[in-house]
Amino acid sequence: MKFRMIFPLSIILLAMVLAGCSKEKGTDPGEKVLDPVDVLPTADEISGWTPQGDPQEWVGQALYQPINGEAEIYIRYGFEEAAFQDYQGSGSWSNTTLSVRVFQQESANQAQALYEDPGSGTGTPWTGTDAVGTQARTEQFSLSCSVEFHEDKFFVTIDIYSGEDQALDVAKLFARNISGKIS
Amino acid sequence: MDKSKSHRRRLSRRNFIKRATWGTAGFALASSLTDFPLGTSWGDSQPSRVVIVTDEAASAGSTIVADVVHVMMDRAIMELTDEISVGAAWLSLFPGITSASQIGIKVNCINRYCSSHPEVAYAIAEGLARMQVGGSDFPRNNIIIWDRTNNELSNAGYSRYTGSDPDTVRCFGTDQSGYGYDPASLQVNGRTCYPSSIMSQHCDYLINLSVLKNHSTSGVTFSLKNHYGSIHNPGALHGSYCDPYLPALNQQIRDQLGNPQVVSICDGIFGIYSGGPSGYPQFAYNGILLSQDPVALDYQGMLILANHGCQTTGMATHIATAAGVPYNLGTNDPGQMDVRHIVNPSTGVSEDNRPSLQPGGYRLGHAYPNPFNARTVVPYHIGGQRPVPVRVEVFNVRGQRVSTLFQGMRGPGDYLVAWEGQDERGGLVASGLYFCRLQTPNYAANAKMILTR
Repeated sequence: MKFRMIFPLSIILLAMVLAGCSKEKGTDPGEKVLDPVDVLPTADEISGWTPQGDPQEWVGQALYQPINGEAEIYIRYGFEEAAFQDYQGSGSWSNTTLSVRVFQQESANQAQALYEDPGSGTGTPWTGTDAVGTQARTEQFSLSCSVEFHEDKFFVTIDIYSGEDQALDVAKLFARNISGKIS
Repeated sequence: MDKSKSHRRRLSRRNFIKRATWGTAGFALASSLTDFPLGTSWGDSQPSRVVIVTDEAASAGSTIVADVVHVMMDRAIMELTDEISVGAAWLSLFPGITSASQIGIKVNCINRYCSSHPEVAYAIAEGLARMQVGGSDFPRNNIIIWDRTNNELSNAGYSRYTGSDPDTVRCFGTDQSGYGYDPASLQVNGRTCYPSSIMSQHCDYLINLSVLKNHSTSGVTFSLKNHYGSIHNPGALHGSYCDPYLPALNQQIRDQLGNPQVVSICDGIFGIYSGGPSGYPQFAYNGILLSQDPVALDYQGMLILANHGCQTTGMATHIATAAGVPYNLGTNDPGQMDVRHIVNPSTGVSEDNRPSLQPGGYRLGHAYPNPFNARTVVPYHIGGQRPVPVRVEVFNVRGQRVSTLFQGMRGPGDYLVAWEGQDERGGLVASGLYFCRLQTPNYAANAKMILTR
């Protein structure tokens, strides 16, 4: 008798645990919430830029593996998952690499708090009609350029290893592509 | 010859294990035995000399010019030691060295794009090979360039070599077969860490070759932080902005491994001051910093980043902690530093000891952290050619002075000032908006500080 009651309960509990582990995080049936890897530009999306190898995906504490102690700041703001992808330019950008990192935090508020922590980066606010995300910033260094923005639960960094003016435009192109998939 | 079994090592593996076993229980005793008055360097009562050599020709775009780096390194090591030849300069750093001694150069390659560059590491190795030991050149094969993994070294441009050719420098990671982490542990502020066996078993002396980067958790990287790559679990030591984990780890390495670190060098050819430690290089500082005092070196590196607008330097509280009791790893007091600047040694165009990092105007930076609770730090730069009277004060929103943080003469250069939310009498002030005001005869500026209790 006890077995008859415990067995179905075990099945239900197991199903609940498995459901909790699933990457399908939408609340509506059939709705699929975006993962960081889903918003990365693919091979044919940005002309002249090719992904180098497969994207790297990191979940939870595994983030320490690729970036060691830098992981701390993302974990402090509710880190869930990340996807990293490097790109190689061609043509006039043939000696240039670009790096995209997409971090998914627990909430949009956490993503914003991360963005506003100076440890995550600094820059000039990117505003205006062509701007992306909830908030965005750009920075042009002498050797490289960066674009960072947050939108929904995502904090996104795009770095290009060139300090030329046009390099920032390339980074913005990537930012628009990624933002278009989030929104 | 099996170099790992050198009998001339200053600290045998057996002794290390014995010392490590006693490490926890003997922590207080060890600390008391190694106490120095605040403001002294690692084992030296003289002012801590820091040599900063810069050369505009050290890089072209993102390419490093190795020949120029060699000139810079040679000139810097002679300045550091007051010796007139490169070989004698390096030799003066290694008391008791023999032709069987092993020298490890700990590099930092976790960011493949902004690592300790091979051009700098091999410039050091070439200088070491010019030491006359036992009547001949010091064998290059007795030098090990090392980091955590072979893969990280390879990604940063190093070629792995584990052979025995006497003229070839060895280079490999702790994950190299036959090495790994030492089972005898270090006790680091309550955490158990296993050191790289390269450092604990295979090196008689250590050279710490770090990188000029900011860090989202510890504020800055440099030499103290470089040793996070010398242990098996750096991720366990990042709480509380790495403070006091960083000082505690460096103290353990000094005290338990027999103080093998003879010089700290920071590769500042390129640097990162925002969003680090990951990412591409952001600026060419074209410089190398050297000191036997890791705290003084880190302090000077922090000033360079602050001068470039870095907003995380205020998080680097571990530098002050490292200077104090019980760590006593060096000095963070600029008054106790003998900073030597060498400019463009490859061309000989100019060479002097100017104290300022950049000529030009005055600047008051942003407070960090801000808002703050316990302590905030504000960087400022004094320009001009000679010392001027400087006053740094805190005002409330009604324009009433709350506290005077500094009043006196300041020469050209970069400085940090800290405020712990106290008035002149040491009483805690209420939450609210305050202003840090920098006043000189020809410059005044305010920085906002928001105190939240």
